[in-house]
Amino acid sequence: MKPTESESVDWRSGSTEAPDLTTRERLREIYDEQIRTPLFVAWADWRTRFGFLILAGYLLMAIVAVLGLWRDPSTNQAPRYLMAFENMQYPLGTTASGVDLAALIIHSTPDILLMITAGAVWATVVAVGIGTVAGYKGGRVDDVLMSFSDFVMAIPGLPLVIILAVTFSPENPILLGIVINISYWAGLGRSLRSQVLTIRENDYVEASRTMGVSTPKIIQKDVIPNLMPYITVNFVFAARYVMFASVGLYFLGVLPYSTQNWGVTLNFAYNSGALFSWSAAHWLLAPMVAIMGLSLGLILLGQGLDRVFNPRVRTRMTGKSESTADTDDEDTVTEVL
Amino acid sequence: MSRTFIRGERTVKVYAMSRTNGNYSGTISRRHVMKLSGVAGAAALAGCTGGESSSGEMTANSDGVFDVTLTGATNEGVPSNMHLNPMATQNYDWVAGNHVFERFAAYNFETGEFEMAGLSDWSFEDDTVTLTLRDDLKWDTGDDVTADDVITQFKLMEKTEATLWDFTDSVEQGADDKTVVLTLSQSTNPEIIKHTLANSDLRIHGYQPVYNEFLDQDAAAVQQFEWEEDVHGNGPFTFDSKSNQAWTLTRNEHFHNAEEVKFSTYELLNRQDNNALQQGLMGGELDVVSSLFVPPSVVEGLPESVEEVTLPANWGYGVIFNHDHEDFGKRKVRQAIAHVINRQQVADNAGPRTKNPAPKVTGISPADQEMWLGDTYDSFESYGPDATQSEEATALLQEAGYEKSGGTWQDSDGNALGGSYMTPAGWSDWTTATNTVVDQLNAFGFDFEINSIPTSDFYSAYTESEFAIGAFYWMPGGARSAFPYFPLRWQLNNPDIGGGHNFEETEYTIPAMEGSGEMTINPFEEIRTVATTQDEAQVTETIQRVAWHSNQNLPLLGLVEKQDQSWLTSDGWDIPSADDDARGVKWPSHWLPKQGKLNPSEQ
Amino acid sequence: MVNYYVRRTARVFATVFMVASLTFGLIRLLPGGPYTLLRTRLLRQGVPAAEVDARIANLQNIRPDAPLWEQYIDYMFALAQGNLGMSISLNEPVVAILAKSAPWTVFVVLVSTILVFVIGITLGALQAYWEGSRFDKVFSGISISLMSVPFYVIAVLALYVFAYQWGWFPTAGTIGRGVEPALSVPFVLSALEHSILPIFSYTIGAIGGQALAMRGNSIQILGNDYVQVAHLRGLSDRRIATRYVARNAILPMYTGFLLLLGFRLGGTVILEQIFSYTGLGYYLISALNTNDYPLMMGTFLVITVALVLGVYVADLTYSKIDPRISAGGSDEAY
Repeated sequence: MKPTESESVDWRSGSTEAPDLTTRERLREIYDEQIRTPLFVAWADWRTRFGFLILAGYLLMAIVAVLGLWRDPSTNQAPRYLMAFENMQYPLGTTASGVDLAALIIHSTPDILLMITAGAVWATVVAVGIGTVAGYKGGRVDDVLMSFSDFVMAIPGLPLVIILAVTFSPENPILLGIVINISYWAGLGRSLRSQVLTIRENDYVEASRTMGVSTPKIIQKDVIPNLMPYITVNFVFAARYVMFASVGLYFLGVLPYSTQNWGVTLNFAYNSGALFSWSAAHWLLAPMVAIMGLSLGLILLGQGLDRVFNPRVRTRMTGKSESTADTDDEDTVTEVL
Repeated sequence: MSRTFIRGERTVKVYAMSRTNGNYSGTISRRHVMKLSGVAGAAALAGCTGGESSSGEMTANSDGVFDVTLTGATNEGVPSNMHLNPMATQNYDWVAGNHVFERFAAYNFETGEFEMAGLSDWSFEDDTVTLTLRDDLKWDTGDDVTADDVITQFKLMEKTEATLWDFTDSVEQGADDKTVVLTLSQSTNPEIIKHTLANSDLRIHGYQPVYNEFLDQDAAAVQQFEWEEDVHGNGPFTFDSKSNQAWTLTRNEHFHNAEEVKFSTYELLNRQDNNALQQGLMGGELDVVSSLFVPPSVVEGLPESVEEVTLPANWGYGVIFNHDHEDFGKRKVRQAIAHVINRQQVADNAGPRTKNPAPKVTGISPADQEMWLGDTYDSFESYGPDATQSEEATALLQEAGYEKSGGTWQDSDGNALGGSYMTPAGWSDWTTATNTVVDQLNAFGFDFEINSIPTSDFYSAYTESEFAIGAFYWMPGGARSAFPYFPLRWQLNNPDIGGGHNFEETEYTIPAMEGSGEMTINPFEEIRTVATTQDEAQVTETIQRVAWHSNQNLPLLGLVEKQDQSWLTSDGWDIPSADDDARGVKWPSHWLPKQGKLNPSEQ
Repeated sequence: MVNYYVRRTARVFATVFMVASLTFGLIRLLPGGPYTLLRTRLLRQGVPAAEVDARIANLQNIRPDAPLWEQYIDYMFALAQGNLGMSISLNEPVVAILAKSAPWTVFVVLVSTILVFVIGITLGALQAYWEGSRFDKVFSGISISLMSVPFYVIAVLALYVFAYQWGWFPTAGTIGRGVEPALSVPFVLSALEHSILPIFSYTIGAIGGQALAMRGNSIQILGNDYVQVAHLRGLSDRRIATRYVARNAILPMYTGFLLLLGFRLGGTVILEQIFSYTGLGYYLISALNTNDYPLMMGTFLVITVALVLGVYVADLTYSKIDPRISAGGSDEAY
């Protein structure tokens, strides 16, 4: 990204140099540089702090669900249409069939977290793979990969997902996550490629190349670490996209379901007229709050990480001079949906 | 024609219209005036039209007809893509068509009797049926509807294999040009003929200048014909125009009861889904809706002026078995399932106001069960309508060779008793019912998993017999189903899925109806005899026997019956009171204007 | 340079061709035949089952079932001539249906995306200018909150409150009833009136993201030396703002703009359902529900082509704005 940034990461990430450091010490340094320090910086920023906390909360819910610490949702387990906080046994109230809303929300969490992680991983991994190889290799390989990437980018996301969803009826959350994000990687891949184009001109990369280090290793050790900030931020946004798209599709009634899911709960509530009556409003609000909460957490985290890795974004006062050639593609936020 | 102000239209538009037109005629109701001053915004938020009488000054023209529009809705499709040929396979909008074309007769769910509509009389001999058309039944051009028109239509229906021809040999004109005589192929039960003729999708539409040309062509020709221009009907309203948004129908002055129809325009707005329709009722945009499911919480929020008319749907949520399946092909397993399911709970979860459990499980509409079963009613098994009868179910399963181990029922090979339970994804109340049923069964020890399929795929799974057990309706619906011959026979051969439930046509041995002992019965054969029997007592007895078989052998397990909800408004309109039998014909929004019972309120 | 344009244009055709083939393959994979829903409908309408079967059998005889590869070749040839086939469910040429509905979708997406961009950029720039101030913090907060709310939630609420409850806007459709689709004032007014809620719901959630991105970019650039130098040179604030800051800040957002366009074109499937707005997305869903292959393929294809054209136009204009591109270098706008 920025030479200063990459330089500071680079000369200590010790790919082939510094033979006098033991592995252990080297690992310690990596830990210090790449994990501990950024974490400290991140924590200092209120956004990442909140984002982390919110996500931790959801993770906790998922753990509760997996460990079976809260009852499973089933019909007629409680009086129907209990309002929220009316009965502390059922803190979020119940639905028209007497299903505990809190149970519905909690037990959907693991699948949803799985889904968005799977989708984000898919999008990011494919984007990184294609983007870095295309950018680094250039030439023919670049042309082919970019043509393919263009083709995928030309296909509108949601309609494609809808057709695939109706065709294959994916129920496994991981599969579902991948299907939803199936063409998301294309835009990301392109941006990564442009950045790689810049990075590959750097001295240390050329040094590695002349030393005969293999391409995959170069990409892995020299290129990708510089892209980590960008990747991390967009990973978070890819996850958010999966969240929104999946709920939207459940809303349309296009996605099949076999287990509960916030989008499904939302759909039910909406079709049972929860929008129109106060007595059922909690049925609509609970999943909506869950969805928006998770999105908020992801956004905050993404924004916070962005600032962490882009120190200059924090305030213009800390700006340093650099050539304009590198201010290409500074846009890290890809706003979708 | 003068511009009518459509109820619920945007205020600015109304205002602008009045200014440009210059004739701010008195057709704007007080409600609109209030909206113009923006007061109604707050009132509408409070969800009330309460108190204020909303019909303002309306002036009738010389015929006593008010220049007012009744706003209904259709969710068949975008009107500009639809047409008015009732015989077409696709894109016929029946909601509009039912206003444009009169029907022969109608079944009244309140009285259980048939009422004449386009016919003035019908009579049934051994092998002929004589239909007499009304003297004053005319096309909207002023010409009479003649026997020739009807005969043309019937001949076309022969090409398209309409059910009328299941029992008819030929049609011809009778004594005069208002009489049609059907010659039957064999002696037929008059109830069946009556229901066929009174079926609401059978309309008198054989306008010869248009339909004659199809007489010597293939069936496909008339089924592809899209009647969009020069449409001539004989119903209370004629086709005026249609757009992307709505159908516009205007009063037909040649309608046989035209003096009783006192408003000039009927509009049908195009509304896609239930939510839009519900919101339309809530906000007053829609005056009437033919049939719409409204959940209880929303019903509470509807304005006082919105009236609900509930009519039996003769249709409802039930469980279908694949009788070739090794587990569900066993009678005892099916009976056990019936004992376990608490039907009242299913009804309460899925729609407490509009669904009720059938008191006895058989192929007869719940409202009519006592009437048809008579003395035998008490001996029919009820399978615990509002309870889970675990003891009976356990005994049955054990007798069938299943054991419960570790909380789950298993067969002798250790396979869990259960599997994939199919359900259609599209209907939310069915989804709730399925969730309840599966939860109840799983709590008892079955091991079911819900498999929800898109509606378009749902039928094919059943038709191909690629299922073990699932949700399906247990009566075919329609007025027909009030006559048990139809639903009982339908449960056996299930033509909707081409018999995909594999219920074999053979003799079955079941406990006797009276006393102990057994009886053998071939339900298919016996129910067929009803079609050709005219003796009422014999018909009733046969029906009881076949119903008994259905009750014991469970070809289909009926759980709840749905009530259709039809909607009217009293805001600006006079509608019949709750105890008026005229409400009993489907659909009130179509039938009542024809009787002169849905008209604008005068002051 | 000419070479670049020629290659780029050839690319467009190649992409469209490939997408058409992909669409053909995809839609053939769909489960259920084209008549399953029709069957359901007729049954629910009250038509006895035997009659339903007979009706549908007749319909199928009209459409011969040729082998797949033959259908593909037929399809591609017809496509080249601009013929998209006949819609099964609506019995009208697909092109006719799409010609009526495409303008509405393009209108809504274009207007809303431009609004998002314009408002977002302005907001972001202002925030960067007054960085750290109350204004900045408040609007950052608002942006983030709005970004958490999916557009369809806003759409449903807006429809409920503004259309049904308060009656300020129509509840459905692209134009009012009884309005003639001619280029006249009532038509334009009616069309605008019906598009306000869809555009509003589609725009408001997305502004936040653009604003924050612009803000980030601007702050970076404002921290750069050449901006300081320009300032010291005595150039007016305005000139600095437009010539230096804005141009450099917006350039990287181009990628985002194009991606945005793509996602938003796709997102119309949900938006138009909610508002019963008969555009491309609406017909795609209704074609999906009735398994109407020709209409589905046509709609999908048109949405894609719209996107491809949009990207193409943006690519060409981008190369005009960013001189580094026309110098050769990397082929593409990104």
